[in-house]
Amino acid sequence: STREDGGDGQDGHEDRVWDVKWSPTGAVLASSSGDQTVRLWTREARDWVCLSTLEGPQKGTIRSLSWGREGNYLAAASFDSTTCVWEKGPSGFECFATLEGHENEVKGVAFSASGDYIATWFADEEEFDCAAILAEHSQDVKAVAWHPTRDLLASCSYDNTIRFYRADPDNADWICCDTLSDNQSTVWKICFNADGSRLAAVGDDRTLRVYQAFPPGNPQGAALPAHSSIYAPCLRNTLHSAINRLVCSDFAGIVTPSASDDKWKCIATITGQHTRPIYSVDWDPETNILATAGGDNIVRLFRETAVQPDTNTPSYELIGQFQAHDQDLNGLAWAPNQPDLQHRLLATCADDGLHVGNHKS
Amino acid sequence: MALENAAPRVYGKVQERVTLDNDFDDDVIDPFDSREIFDLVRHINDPEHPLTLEELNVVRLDQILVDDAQNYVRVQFTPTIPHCSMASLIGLCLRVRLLRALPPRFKVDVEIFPGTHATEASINKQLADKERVAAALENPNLKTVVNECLQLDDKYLD
Repeated sequence: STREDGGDGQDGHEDRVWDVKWSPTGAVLASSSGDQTVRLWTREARDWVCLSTLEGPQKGTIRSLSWGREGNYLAAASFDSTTCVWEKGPSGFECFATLEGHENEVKGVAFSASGDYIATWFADEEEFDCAAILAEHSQDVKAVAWHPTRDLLASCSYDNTIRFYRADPDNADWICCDTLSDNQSTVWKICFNADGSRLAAVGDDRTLRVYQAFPPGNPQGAALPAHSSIYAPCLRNTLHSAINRLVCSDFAGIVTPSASDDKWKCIATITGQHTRPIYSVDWDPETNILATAGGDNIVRLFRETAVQPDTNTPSYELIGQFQAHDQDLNGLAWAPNQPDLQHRLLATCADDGLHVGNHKS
Repeated sequence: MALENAAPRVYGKVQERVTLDNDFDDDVIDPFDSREIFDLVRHINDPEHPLTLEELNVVRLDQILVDDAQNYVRVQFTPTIPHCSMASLIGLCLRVRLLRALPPRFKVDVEIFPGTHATEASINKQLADKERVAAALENPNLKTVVNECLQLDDKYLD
């Protein structure tokens, strides 16, 4: 069920592919699947070949992947409620640690830029248990993303919101420092741009939104949030359990608190393009082109155009769209370190497999 | 446990589909139609009663929309009572049945028929969440329940 440029797909996943992530150098592509494996791919001449298949410790769909520490670690989050950290060794990747502690499916995982933290997120319990549905609103988190330079974490959820968290130096704890409620339905994916000044979000409402961070005292006059003391108990426990386990495993974490909190504001809303839910978004670090994809099988590329002087906000134009798959696209990722600005390498994964293709920017 | 709806009204069943000579001609392309979708879902067992979704009027032929050219199927269903706690499970069974039976080119929406359930929006949101559906099917207990509902009674087998 796998298609690569020129590849014959014989080493492809045997089930839906949920996530794709490039190693920091762009040399290796990792993919994760409902077949309970992670596969590592590399280019040989024109073909993409499967270097190795990581399997064993996890007995459920592997939903999400994150590379850490210059590509020496790969974290994999599974519906079996564990997160497995793979470590690069002399003879390939070995299971380095299995993070437990979640009671339910782990749906997202992300290494922080410093490599000191792993954030994972999980589902609320018993989602199709009818009694639970009548009892209370469910709030599973769909994805997490770390700021590229700071220890600022963003998460997006089934509860239609995006939240930001940072360490609170006064309490040696984590606090929710901003909440965005522009979305009409589940927010499936969030992604920071290269310098961390913007965040893109996509979701069930078939809309791409771009947020910008406005620092305190900004001339645009965005209101600043009062320092929130709302704790996120799930997150706190999760982070602590992850940190504890990682500290035990020689990842000494140092909290770098933000001097002050930015206020994130929606500066662009792009609707009317995707006809089904949007499941993934990624920002090309070199060209700033946004790629989005989801349930309508189509990848769309957007580029920022001139900033409007009256509102000080940019607009985005659709610069390309193509059908890379015949079924739902679950994830996509621009390859890093691609010096050719005219031809950009994009990996996509879908219910029908995996694809790597070149796109003119 | 007491049943929420102990004595549901039981409805009649449709006649079997009339087969035409064309149906057996491999050179004729038969697009999917709503009757074909209905035949896929009408024998699903109700989780509570020893009756099918057709007999309980939970699924109805006229509440199925099929656009073969656009690869689209929408099945709406009507819980027997507006507070039916089994509505999510019934919806999950419908979704799984169609997932297993239809070619993957189809986009499928399974929804509560508008105005027939107290928490319609929240159930529709759950049923549209592919990640939750996938995770539910990796839950052994839930998978067993769904498979039991989807198990065909002997009388429907050839």
